[in-house]
Amino acid sequence: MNDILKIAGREIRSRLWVGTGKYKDFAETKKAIEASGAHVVTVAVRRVNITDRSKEGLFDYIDPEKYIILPNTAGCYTAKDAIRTAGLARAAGVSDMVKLEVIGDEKTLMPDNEALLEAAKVLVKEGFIVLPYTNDDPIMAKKLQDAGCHAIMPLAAPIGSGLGIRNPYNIRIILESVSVPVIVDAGVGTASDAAIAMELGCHAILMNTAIACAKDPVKMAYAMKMAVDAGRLAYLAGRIPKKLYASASSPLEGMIE
Amino acid sequence: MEITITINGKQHSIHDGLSLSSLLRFLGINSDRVAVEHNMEIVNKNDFNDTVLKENDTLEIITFVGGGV
Repeated sequence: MNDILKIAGREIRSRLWVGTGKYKDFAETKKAIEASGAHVVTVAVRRVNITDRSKEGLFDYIDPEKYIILPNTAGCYTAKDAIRTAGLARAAGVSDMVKLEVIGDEKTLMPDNEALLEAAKVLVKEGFIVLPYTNDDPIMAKKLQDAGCHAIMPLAAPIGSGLGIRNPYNIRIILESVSVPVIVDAGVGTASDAAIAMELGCHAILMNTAIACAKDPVKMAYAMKMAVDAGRLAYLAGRIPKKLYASASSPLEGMIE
Repeated sequence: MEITITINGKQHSIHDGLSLSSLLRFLGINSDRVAVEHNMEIVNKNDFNDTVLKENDTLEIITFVGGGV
Protein backbone atom coordinates (compact mmCIF):
# COMPACT_ATOMS: atom_id res chain seq x y z
CA MET A 1 0.00 0.00 0.00
CA ASN A 2 1.38 3.35 -0.98
CA ASP A 3 0.63 5.41 2.11
CA ILE A 4 3.78 7.21 3.07
CA LEU A 5 3.95 10.08 5.51
CA LYS A 6 6.10 13.00 4.42
CA ILE A 7 7.28 15.89 6.55
CA ALA A 8 9.10 18.72 4.83
CA GLY A 9 9.59 16.36 1.88
CA ARG A 10 11.16 13.61 4.02
CA GLU A 11 9.70 10.15 4.04
CA ILE A 12 8.75 8.92 7.47
CA ARG A 13 8.43 5.15 7.69
CA SER A 14 6.12 4.94 10.71
CA ARG A 15 3.02 6.69 11.97
CA LEU A 16 3.84 5.82 15.55
CA TRP A 17 6.55 8.06 16.99
CA VAL A 18 7.92 7.45 20.44
CA GLY A 19 9.70 9.23 23.24
CA THR A 20 12.68 7.87 25.15
CA GLY A 21 11.92 9.08 28.69
CA LYS A 22 10.65 7.36 31.83
CA TYR A 23 11.96 3.87 30.98
CA LYS A 24 13.54 1.62 33.62
CA ASP A 25 16.84 1.55 31.72
CA PHE A 26 18.30 1.94 28.23
CA ALA A 27 17.91 -1.77 27.46
CA GLU A 28 14.16 -1.53 28.01
CA THR A 29 14.03 1.71 25.99
CA LYS A 30 15.68 -0.06 23.07
CA LYS A 31 13.40 -3.11 23.21
CA ALA A 32 10.24 -1.01 23.43
CA ILE A 33 11.28 1.22 20.54
CA GLU A 34 12.03 -1.82 18.41
CA ALA A 35 8.64 -3.34 19.26
CA SER A 36 6.88 -0.05 18.41
CA GLY A 37 8.32 -0.01 14.90
CA ALA A 38 8.83 3.74 15.30
CA HIS A 39 11.02 5.53 12.78
CA VAL A 40 10.93 8.83 14.66
CA VAL A 41 12.31 8.98 18.18
CA THR A 42 12.18 12.07 20.33
CA VAL A 43 14.92 13.01 22.79
CA ALA A 44 15.58 15.81 25.26
CA VAL A 45 18.51 18.20 25.31
CA ARG A 46 20.39 18.38 28.62
CA ARG A 47 23.77 19.26 30.09
CA VAL A 48 26.48 16.60 29.85
CA ASN A 49 27.41 15.23 33.26
CA ILE A 50 31.08 16.19 33.20
CA THR A 51 32.03 14.75 36.58
CA ASP A 52 30.72 11.24 35.95
CA ARG A 53 31.60 10.02 32.49
CA SER A 54 31.15 6.35 33.31
CA LYS A 55 27.46 6.33 32.47
CA GLU A 56 26.29 5.00 29.15
CA GLY A 57 24.44 7.33 26.84
CA LEU A 58 21.14 7.00 25.04
CA PHE A 59 22.92 6.71 21.69
CA ASP A 60 24.81 3.65 22.91
CA TYR A 61 21.40 1.96 22.59
CA ILE A 62 19.50 4.01 20.01
CA ASP A 63 21.41 4.22 16.75
CA PRO A 64 20.86 7.72 15.33
CA GLU A 65 21.65 6.38 11.86
CA LYS A 66 18.67 4.03 12.08
CA TYR A 67 16.10 6.49 13.41
CA ILE A 68 15.02 10.03 12.70
CA ILE A 69 16.01 11.81 15.88
CA LEU A 70 13.57 14.53 16.91
CA PRO A 71 15.07 16.69 19.66
CA ASN A 72 12.53 18.47 21.82
CA THR A 73 12.65 21.69 23.79
CA ALA A 74 10.85 20.15 26.76
CA GLY A 75 11.28 22.12 29.95
CA CYS A 76 11.57 25.47 28.19
CA TYR A 77 9.24 28.15 29.54
CA THR A 78 10.24 31.03 27.27
CA ALA A 79 10.66 31.50 23.53
CA LYS A 80 14.28 32.50 24.16
CA ASP A 81 15.11 29.25 26.00
CA ALA A 82 13.36 27.15 23.37
CA ILE A 83 15.24 28.88 20.53
CA ARG A 84 18.54 28.44 22.39
CA THR A 85 17.85 24.76 23.08
CA ALA A 86 16.84 24.12 19.46
CA GLY A 87 20.04 25.79 18.29
CA LEU A 88 22.17 23.57 20.52
CA ALA A 89 20.28 20.47 19.43
CA ARG A 90 20.97 21.23 15.78
CA ALA A 91 24.62 22.06 16.48
CA ALA A 92 25.06 18.58 18.00
CA GLY A 93 24.67 17.36 14.45
CA VAL A 94 22.04 14.63 14.53
CA SER A 95 18.98 16.49 13.30
CA ASP A 96 17.65 19.77 11.98
CA MET A 97 14.14 18.94 13.16
CA VAL A 98 12.77 20.23 16.42
CA LYS A 99 9.72 19.34 18.42
CA LEU A 100 9.12 22.83 19.65
CA GLU A 101 7.67 23.09 23.13
CA VAL A 102 7.22 26.26 25.12
CA ILE A 103 5.51 25.27 28.32
CA GLY A 104 3.25 27.75 30.06
CA ASP A 105 2.68 26.11 33.40
CA GLU A 106 4.36 23.42 35.47
CA LYS A 107 1.20 21.80 36.73
CA THR A 108 -0.64 21.37 33.44
CA LEU A 109 2.38 21.41 31.09
CA MET A 110 0.06 23.17 28.65
CA PRO A 111 1.78 25.15 25.91
CA ASP A 112 2.27 28.91 26.03
CA ASN A 113 0.95 29.47 22.52
CA GLU A 114 1.95 33.11 22.30
CA ALA A 115 5.60 32.28 23.04
CA LEU A 116 5.36 29.15 20.88
CA LEU A 117 4.35 31.14 17.82
CA GLU A 118 7.13 33.64 18.45
CA ALA A 119 9.75 30.86 18.73
CA ALA A 120 8.34 29.03 15.70
CA LYS A 121 8.71 32.10 13.49
CA VAL A 122 12.36 32.54 14.49
CA LEU A 123 13.25 28.86 14.04
CA VAL A 124 11.52 28.58 10.64
CA LYS A 125 13.53 31.59 9.50
CA GLU A 126 16.70 29.87 10.73
CA GLY A 127 15.95 26.85 8.56
CA PHE A 128 14.70 24.36 11.14
CA ILE A 129 12.02 21.79 10.43
CA VAL A 130 9.62 22.95 13.13
CA LEU A 131 7.00 20.68 14.69
CA PRO A 132 5.20 22.62 17.41
CA TYR A 133 3.44 21.06 20.40
CA THR A 134 0.23 23.03 20.80
CA ASN A 135 -3.30 22.91 22.18
CA ASP A 136 -6.11 21.26 20.25
CA ASP A 137 -6.96 24.73 18.95
CA PRO A 138 -7.72 25.05 15.22
CA ILE A 139 -6.96 28.80 15.13
CA MET A 140 -3.55 28.29 16.69
CA ALA A 141 -2.87 25.37 14.35
CA LYS A 142 -3.58 27.63 11.37
CA LYS A 143 -1.34 30.38 12.74
CA LEU A 144 1.51 27.90 13.24
CA GLN A 145 1.08 26.59 9.72
CA ASP A 146 1.09 30.14 8.36
CA ALA A 147 4.31 30.76 10.31
CA GLY A 148 5.89 27.98 8.22
CA CYS A 149 5.75 25.04 10.63
CA HIS A 150 6.10 21.70 8.88
CA ALA A 151 3.53 19.79 10.97
CA ILE A 152 1.20 20.58 13.84
CA MET A 153 1.34 18.56 17.05
CA PRO A 154 -1.82 19.11 19.06
CA LEU A 155 -2.15 17.51 22.46
CA ALA A 156 -4.98 15.02 22.94
CA ALA A 157 -4.87 15.51 26.72
CA PRO A 158 -2.23 16.82 29.17
CA ILE A 159 1.26 15.28 28.91
CA GLY A 160 1.49 11.99 30.76
CA SER A 161 -2.19 12.08 31.77
CA GLY A 162 -3.32 9.09 29.70
CA LEU A 163 -6.78 10.64 29.38
CA GLY A 164 -7.09 9.85 25.67
CA ILE A 165 -8.55 12.00 22.91
CA ARG A 166 -10.42 14.61 25.00
CA ASN A 167 -11.77 16.62 22.10
CA PRO A 168 -12.02 14.59 18.90
CA TYR A 169 -14.12 17.35 17.32
CA ASN A 170 -11.36 19.93 17.68
CA ILE A 171 -8.86 17.46 16.25
CA ARG A 172 -11.18 17.00 13.27
CA ILE A 173 -11.48 20.75 12.78
CA ILE A 174 -7.68 21.06 12.94
CA LEU A 175 -7.41 18.36 10.27
CA GLU A 176 -9.74 20.40 8.07
CA SER A 177 -7.99 23.71 8.84
CA VAL A 178 -4.40 22.89 7.91
CA SER A 179 -2.70 21.10 5.04
CA VAL A 180 0.49 20.10 6.90
CA PRO A 181 0.51 16.77 8.76
CA VAL A 182 -1.25 16.68 12.13
CA ILE A 183 0.48 14.55 14.74
CA VAL A 184 -1.23 13.94 18.05
CA ASP A 185 1.32 14.65 20.74
CA ALA A 186 0.58 13.67 24.34
CA GLY A 187 -2.39 12.31 26.23
CA VAL A 188 -2.77 8.82 24.76
CA GLY A 189 -3.34 6.20 27.50
CA THR A 190 -3.91 2.91 25.73
CA ALA A 191 -4.19 1.31 22.30
CA SER A 192 -7.81 2.31 21.63
CA ASP A 193 -6.89 5.99 22.13
CA ALA A 194 -4.24 5.65 19.45
CA ALA A 195 -6.70 3.95 17.10
CA ILE A 196 -9.26 6.73 17.64
CA ALA A 197 -6.73 9.44 16.79
CA MET A 198 -5.75 7.64 13.61
CA GLU A 199 -9.37 6.94 12.65
CA LEU A 200 -10.01 10.68 12.86
CA GLY A 201 -7.41 11.10 10.13
CA CYS A 202 -4.39 12.20 12.14
CA HIS A 203 -1.20 11.53 10.23
CA ALA A 204 0.81 10.16 13.15
CA ILE A 205 0.97 9.97 16.94
CA LEU A 206 3.82 10.70 19.30
CA MET A 207 3.68 9.06 22.70
CA ASN A 208 5.98 8.25 25.58
CA THR A 209 4.33 7.69 28.97
CA ALA A 210 1.63 5.30 27.72
CA ILE A 211 4.36 2.91 26.60
CA ALA A 212 7.18 3.59 29.07
CA CYS A 213 4.97 3.48 32.18
CA ALA A 214 2.82 0.50 31.15
CA LYS A 215 3.35 -2.63 33.26
CA ASP A 216 4.99 -4.25 30.25
CA PRO A 217 6.36 -1.48 28.03
CA VAL A 218 7.49 -3.80 25.24
CA LYS A 219 4.05 -5.41 24.92
CA MET A 220 2.36 -2.00 25.04
CA ALA A 221 4.72 -0.70 22.35
CA TYR A 222 3.62 -3.52 20.08
CA ALA A 223 -0.05 -2.95 20.96
CA MET A 224 0.35 0.74 20.05
CA LYS A 225 1.97 -0.15 16.73
CA MET A 226 -0.96 -2.38 15.84
CA ALA A 227 -3.49 0.20 17.02
CA VAL A 228 -1.89 2.97 14.95
CA ASP A 229 -1.74 0.73 11.88
CA ALA A 230 -5.33 -0.46 12.40
CA GLY A 231 -6.60 3.08 12.96
CA ARG A 232 -4.86 4.37 9.86
CA LEU A 233 -6.19 1.51 7.76
CA ALA A 234 -9.73 2.05 9.07
CA TYR A 235 -9.46 5.75 8.21
CA LEU A 236 -8.36 4.92 4.67
CA ALA A 237 -11.04 2.24 4.35
CA GLY A 238 -13.75 4.71 5.35
CA ARG A 239 -16.03 3.78 8.22
CA ILE A 240 -19.80 3.29 7.85
CA PRO A 241 -22.01 6.10 9.07
CA LYS A 242 -23.46 5.70 12.56
CA LYS A 243 -27.18 4.88 12.55
CA LEU A 244 -29.69 4.69 15.36
CA TYR A 245 -31.54 1.58 14.17
CA ALA A 246 -30.51 -1.88 13.07
CA SER A 247 -29.80 -2.85 9.49
CA ALA A 248 -29.80 -6.62 8.93
CA SER A 249 -26.65 -8.19 7.54
CA SER A 250 -28.32 -11.44 6.50
CA PRO A 251 -30.71 -11.57 3.51
CA LEU A 252 -34.41 -11.36 4.33
CA GLU A 253 -35.33 -13.54 1.35
CA GLY A 254 -35.32 -17.34 1.51
CA MET A 255 -36.25 -17.66 5.16
CA ILE A 256 -37.81 -21.04 6.09
CA GLU A 257 -41.50 -20.93 6.74
CA MET B 1 49.14 28.57 34.91
CA GLU B 2 45.55 27.76 35.68
CA ILE B 3 42.43 29.69 34.80
CA THR B 4 38.88 29.44 36.11
CA ILE B 5 36.01 28.82 33.75
CA THR B 6 32.37 27.86 34.27
CA ILE B 7 31.23 24.59 32.71
CA ASN B 8 27.54 23.73 32.91
CA GLY B 9 27.01 26.13 35.78
CA LYS B 10 29.99 25.06 37.92
CA GLN B 11 33.43 26.60 38.26
CA HIS B 12 36.45 24.56 37.22
CA SER B 13 40.18 25.22 37.09
CA ILE B 14 41.85 24.30 33.83
CA HIS B 15 45.22 24.85 32.19
CA ASP B 16 45.60 28.16 30.43
CA GLY B 17 45.68 28.00 26.66
CA LEU B 18 43.55 24.86 26.37
CA SER B 19 41.39 24.54 23.26
CA LEU B 20 37.80 23.43 23.43
CA SER B 21 38.61 20.14 21.71
CA SER B 22 41.45 19.44 24.18
CA LEU B 23 39.12 20.16 27.09
CA LEU B 24 36.49 17.76 25.74
CA ARG B 25 39.15 15.09 25.29
CA PHE B 26 40.42 15.73 28.83
CA LEU B 27 36.85 15.37 30.17
CA GLY B 28 36.35 12.15 28.22
CA ILE B 29 33.55 13.61 26.13
CA ASN B 30 33.08 12.36 22.57
CA SER B 31 32.44 15.50 20.56
CA ASP B 32 30.31 13.64 17.98
CA ARG B 33 27.00 14.08 19.75
CA VAL B 34 27.46 17.10 21.93
CA ALA B 35 27.00 20.78 21.26
CA VAL B 36 28.82 23.60 22.98
CA GLU B 37 27.92 27.15 23.77
CA HIS B 38 30.92 29.37 24.48
CA ASN B 39 29.98 32.61 26.22
CA MET B 40 26.40 32.17 24.99
CA GLU B 41 27.45 31.61 21.36
CA ILE B 42 27.06 28.19 19.75
CA VAL B 43 30.42 26.90 18.55
CA ASN B 44 30.54 25.21 15.18
CA LYS B 45 32.14 21.76 15.51
CA ASN B 46 34.78 22.71 12.95
CA ASP B 47 35.89 25.47 15.32
CA PHE B 48 36.39 23.29 18.42
CA ASN B 49 40.14 23.09 17.71
CA ASP B 50 40.58 26.82 17.28
CA THR B 51 38.47 27.91 20.26
CA VAL B 52 40.94 28.73 23.05
CA LEU B 53 39.49 29.08 26.52
CA LYS B 54 40.15 32.18 28.61
CA GLU B 55 39.70 33.21 32.22
CA ASN B 56 36.00 33.56 33.23
CA ASP B 57 34.71 31.93 30.06
CA THR B 58 31.38 30.16 30.31
CA LEU B 59 30.63 26.86 28.58
CA GLU B 60 27.44 24.92 28.20
CA ILE B 61 28.05 21.38 26.97
CA ILE B 62 24.86 19.55 26.06
CA THR B 63 23.90 16.16 24.75
CA PHE B 64 20.72 14.13 24.20
CA VAL B 65 19.01 12.21 26.97
CA GLY B 66 15.85 10.17 27.22
CA GLY B 67 12.84 12.39 27.00
CA GLY B 68 9.39 12.43 25.58
CA VAL B 69 6.59 14.73 25.20
